[in-house]
Amino acid sequence: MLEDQALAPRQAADALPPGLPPAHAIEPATELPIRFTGSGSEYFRIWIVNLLLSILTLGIYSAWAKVRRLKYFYGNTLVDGSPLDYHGTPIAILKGRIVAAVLLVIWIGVQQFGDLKLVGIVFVLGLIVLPWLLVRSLRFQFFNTSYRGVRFGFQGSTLRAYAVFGMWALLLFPGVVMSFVSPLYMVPVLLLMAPLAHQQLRKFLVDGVRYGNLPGSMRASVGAFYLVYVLTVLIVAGALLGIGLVVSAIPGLLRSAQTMVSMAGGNIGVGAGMLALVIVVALGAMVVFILFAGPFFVVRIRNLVWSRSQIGEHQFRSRAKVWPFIWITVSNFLLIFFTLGLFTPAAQIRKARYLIQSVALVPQGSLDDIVATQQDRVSAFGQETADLFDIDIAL
Amino acid sequence: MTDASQTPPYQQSGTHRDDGLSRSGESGPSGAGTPPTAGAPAPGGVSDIEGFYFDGVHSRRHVVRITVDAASLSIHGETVSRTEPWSACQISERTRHGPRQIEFSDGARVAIPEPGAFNAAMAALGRSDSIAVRMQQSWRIALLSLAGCVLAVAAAYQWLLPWAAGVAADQMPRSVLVAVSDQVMETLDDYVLKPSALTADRQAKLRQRLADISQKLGPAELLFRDGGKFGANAFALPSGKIIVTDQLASMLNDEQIVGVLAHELGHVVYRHGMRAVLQKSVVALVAGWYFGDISSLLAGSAAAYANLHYSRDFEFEADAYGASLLRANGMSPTLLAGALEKLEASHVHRRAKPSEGTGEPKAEGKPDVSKPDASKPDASKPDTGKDNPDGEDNDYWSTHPGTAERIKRLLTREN
Repeated sequence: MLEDQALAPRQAADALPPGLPPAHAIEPATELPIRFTGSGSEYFRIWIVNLLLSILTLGIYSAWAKVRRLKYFYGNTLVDGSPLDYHGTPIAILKGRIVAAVLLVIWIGVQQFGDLKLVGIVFVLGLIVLPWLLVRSLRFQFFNTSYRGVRFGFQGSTLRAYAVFGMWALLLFPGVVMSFVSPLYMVPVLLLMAPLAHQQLRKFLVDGVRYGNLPGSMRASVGAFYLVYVLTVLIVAGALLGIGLVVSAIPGLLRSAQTMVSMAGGNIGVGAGMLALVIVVALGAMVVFILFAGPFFVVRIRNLVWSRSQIGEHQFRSRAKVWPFIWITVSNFLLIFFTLGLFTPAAQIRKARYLIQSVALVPQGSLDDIVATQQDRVSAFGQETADLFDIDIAL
Repeated sequence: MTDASQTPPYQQSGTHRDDGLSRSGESGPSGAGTPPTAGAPAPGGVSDIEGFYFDGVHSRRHVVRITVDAASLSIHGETVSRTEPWSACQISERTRHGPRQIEFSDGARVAIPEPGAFNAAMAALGRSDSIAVRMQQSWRIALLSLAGCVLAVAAAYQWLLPWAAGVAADQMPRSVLVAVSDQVMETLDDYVLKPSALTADRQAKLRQRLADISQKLGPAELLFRDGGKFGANAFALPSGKIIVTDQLASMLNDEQIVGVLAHELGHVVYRHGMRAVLQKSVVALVAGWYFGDISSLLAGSAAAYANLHYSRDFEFEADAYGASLLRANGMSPTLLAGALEKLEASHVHRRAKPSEGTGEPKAEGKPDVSKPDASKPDASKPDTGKDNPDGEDNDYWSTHPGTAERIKRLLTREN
């Protein structure tokens, strides 16, 4: 089944005869497709073998596993018929991982055994080095990506990273303070500030990218980010209202929710019905957010950022659609749940295939004239630390 | 599998160096005396492979045809012609889908979008895949790997993790134990426990008894508190503080309390609290990583379940320790057994529900292992909410082993 699914895009890719059209004949404004030829079943085998070897080597092999995984995803991403490639070396990644693991153990130790003050100090220290860390991470990631034999790079300055993240901190700080009064204050603060901060972050990322001698740039406006945020909030609010109405309209529902809660071990006394209602609505909000508003947000932000980004003069178009992506997200979620996680690799492939293939390259002139530039090697420390602490800025 | 010793998988990452490969090729399938190219359809080179060449400096795409033979790889196109020995080529791994890429030592590369012919030519040359690639391409190995993963995780959980947590807990400096314990005690005092109403006289007497049996074991301190919703209970903190609730003290006589204290000293000596925290952290970390993308809820419950199991082992260990400590002090382990029996009976009575015999977990009334993450007092509260009628399930899911089984073990130990 999975093999069959995987064949579909593959055949489409075959339709481009690899040998025939030399790229210099491309007319301006022609869209070049981006194909993803990874297969869920094949990646499952890579994943499970990686997992076994990582367990048996107590995690040491995970650096090799990461290279295999990224090589598979990059190598199966074909822009105009030519694949990307990943160049990170396992040894570099392993070194980065060891340092990162030591930091993680220290952090867990501080969390478990330190007093509140120490936890706070370490946390703030972590926040202070975060921008520096992320710039290292991006440099490693882009430096180790190539297309047509020319490497990408990341030149965003650490200073600007601090400016961008400092803005996040400044914007969110009043919200955090206010949320001690009531968490509700957090909502307007986030809604007002987050789109601006998000746009600044994405601009920093895309503007920092280099492909050979071509700089990346992003033109997506703050207003467009605001629109996506407002729509997302409206979806959540509307769904909440709907759930609340349905729940309160059916008296029996309230009682069964109450029984469910008490069966799950919750010790609720008077006002249990109200509490159950709140719990049901909160759970509903979570589900709505994870399964509907989240995918909506991802798709709209992706389309916005990609369609307004360019490398040199070459532009992109992203046409991901909300409903298909919601379907992928929901079905992935259920399949992962019912297979106890075994569907995870296939789910990653499905998601990657949809998102990658929704992007097309719109070259302005020939892609043949890009020249590689000299770049310094970067250590994997930043990226591995960011990975291990689950810091992900690719929203 | 024959070349496993020569080319361990970890030496061959996403790409593999060719020198390792040619060695394995010679000793591998073609080692039976046949020359490498004997079975190839086109001896001396296969040349119907299409690909792109990139020089590594410019993005220009050169359309080329690729020829391979035993010694080298050659490319020929209108704009470029080049031959490289295999030792200068890094070849990406064979996959069933997607392209293959060959990187030369100067950074130039060849991409083969449709590598079927190339794969066949490589196989005909006797250039076999790395062991990891062959594992990844085989469903049988993939399923065996799955079984292997399950077994390895189970074994690590069963043996490796408890051992490692034990070692780590033993290495932990005393100052850490004290800091953790003080923090837990503070939280408990804030949220659950109230000052004790026990007479100073009885407190002093019990403290003396603890001092008597624990003199060789390092610092042990006895604290009394009103148990609040913990009810009749006793628990030990890693620093050696043992807390006995008024409810427990009023239910048991001094001899029986000494039995309970011996059990709690077992928790202290084995650093069960610290081991529980370490094990829990690792389980939560792993579960969070595995289920992370999908549901932290699932991960949380997996971790919680794992911890229930661990504390069962700890209870048995502490019982055994308590029994031998009592004997060493000239007392009988039946003291502890009697205390357990009494607590069990009161618990069953209090809930006014007939217990399902052996399986019923003692919820409120058994000595509790210290739970240093008592920031959520409910977490350290024994399993009060659940009243599972299924005896066996109950036994397994309970924080503490069935009392009947513990009593049985204590009594058998004595003989």
